[in-house]
Amino acid sequence: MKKTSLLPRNPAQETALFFVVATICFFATLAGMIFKSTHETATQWITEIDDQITVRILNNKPSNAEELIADVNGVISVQKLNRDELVSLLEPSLESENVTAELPIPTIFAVTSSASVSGVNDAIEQALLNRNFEASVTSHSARSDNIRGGLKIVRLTSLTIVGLLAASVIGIIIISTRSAIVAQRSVGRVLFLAGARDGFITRVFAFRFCSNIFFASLVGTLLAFGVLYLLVQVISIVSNVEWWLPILLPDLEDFLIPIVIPVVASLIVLVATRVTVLGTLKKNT
Amino acid sequence: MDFNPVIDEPTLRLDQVSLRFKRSQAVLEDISLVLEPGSFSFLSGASGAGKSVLLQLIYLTLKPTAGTITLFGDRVFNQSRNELAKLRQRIGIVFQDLQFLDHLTVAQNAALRLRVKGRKSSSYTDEVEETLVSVGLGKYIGAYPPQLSAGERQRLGIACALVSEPDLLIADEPTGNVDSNLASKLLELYVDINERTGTTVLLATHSSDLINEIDKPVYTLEKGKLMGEIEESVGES
Repeated sequence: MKKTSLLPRNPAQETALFFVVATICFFATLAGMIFKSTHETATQWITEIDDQITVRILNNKPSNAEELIADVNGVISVQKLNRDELVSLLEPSLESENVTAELPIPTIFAVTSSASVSGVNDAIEQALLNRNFEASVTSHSARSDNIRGGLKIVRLTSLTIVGLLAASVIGIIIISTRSAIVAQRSVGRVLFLAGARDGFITRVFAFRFCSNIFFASLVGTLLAFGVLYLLVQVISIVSNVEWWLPILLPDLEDFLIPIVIPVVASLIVLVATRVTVLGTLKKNT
Repeated sequence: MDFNPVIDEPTLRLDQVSLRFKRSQAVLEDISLVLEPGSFSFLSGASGAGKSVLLQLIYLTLKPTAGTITLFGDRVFNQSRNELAKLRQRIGIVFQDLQFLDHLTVAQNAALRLRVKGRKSSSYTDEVEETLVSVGLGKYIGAYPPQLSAGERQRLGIACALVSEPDLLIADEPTGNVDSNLASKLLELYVDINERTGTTVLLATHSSDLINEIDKPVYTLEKGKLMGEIEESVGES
């Protein structure tokens, strides 16, 4: 005798549930990945600029400033920017036709300092002043503080979005599971009257709903990864901002997401099914 | 199908069983009843007399507010839901308004009681077919419940209850939806099951015509009280 599932198929309801869960899992994964990428990009950026100092010599004296700066405790490297580098920095502000050969170009040093030594910019300023250099010493850490502040807002916003989406997924899964069980309560009644134990009836419902939700969330998360990959490919073709694109691409551990999300979703369904079926059985029998 | 229960104790014993729903009048009051193994009895009474409620108590889907129920020698008292389900597996029940799983075939529906016990389908195919043949549904094995007539649905209900060889078969108005001709045939089937398998049968009905067809003990319920066993004989009205 062929063993048919005890729970009848309800294509309309099951397709709708599949679509809704897959869609929300898709957005949750996408939001989570974008949050992670933004966070990693900003963190990397902060690390890069945190130990950068720009020194501008205001009086154009014959320069041994480079050696003076290099001797300051905490300075790792000093690089004097050449005219071409300076012009490329000035061009966006002044426009290229205004950057002529006669334009006075300041003497600027890009200094990399040790993150473990504090007050390096003050020490550079003092060392230059002692040798009668008028200098403007700007630490980039002030800017990184601004980025950190912005990053906090981005993190909070992203976490709120991911949290709301996760709550929506959980809510929808619970509500859909419960309404589907209520719609099929006659099956539970027939099985109960056939002498089935509560565990048996629960397993019948749990198996169906868990497998449906597992595949729906798997499809949603995998689709999000696919879209993310396409997004990177499209941006890399139409734009020149490739420097941050590798960060958008998932890491190896990110591929745990298509396993974790469906498993968590299935566990939620398992609990929701158990609570609902047992509740219904105890209420009606 | 040969089935001879070896039970010394009565199949069912109710001792001063009462049931009262919250703040309402007693639905059943001081019911005492003994069904011996292999007996066939009627439970009669007008609509609302409490027949269905009494059957639900016997099927352990309701708990009495007073009195004791003893099934197959075990007193039903604070058992877990799983233990109650195990006891319930020894009782077959047939309702007037039967519910089946319409997406399963007649044979698959009839096999439900064996399937919920955890038996493999290969082990019960012959048993199920044999049971369906015995209730006259041999040619409907592959059909679906919506394709059956009212009488055939009743027969399927009996097959579903009978397939697990229950020690007690209870039926709640099993002939309520069929004409008198078919009702007589269904009654014959219940008697045949009782005589052939030794299954204790308790058949609840409000139809005195049905009760008068055979000479079996009748327990009459009136406003929740059992009026005692009345020996009916064929031809009496």
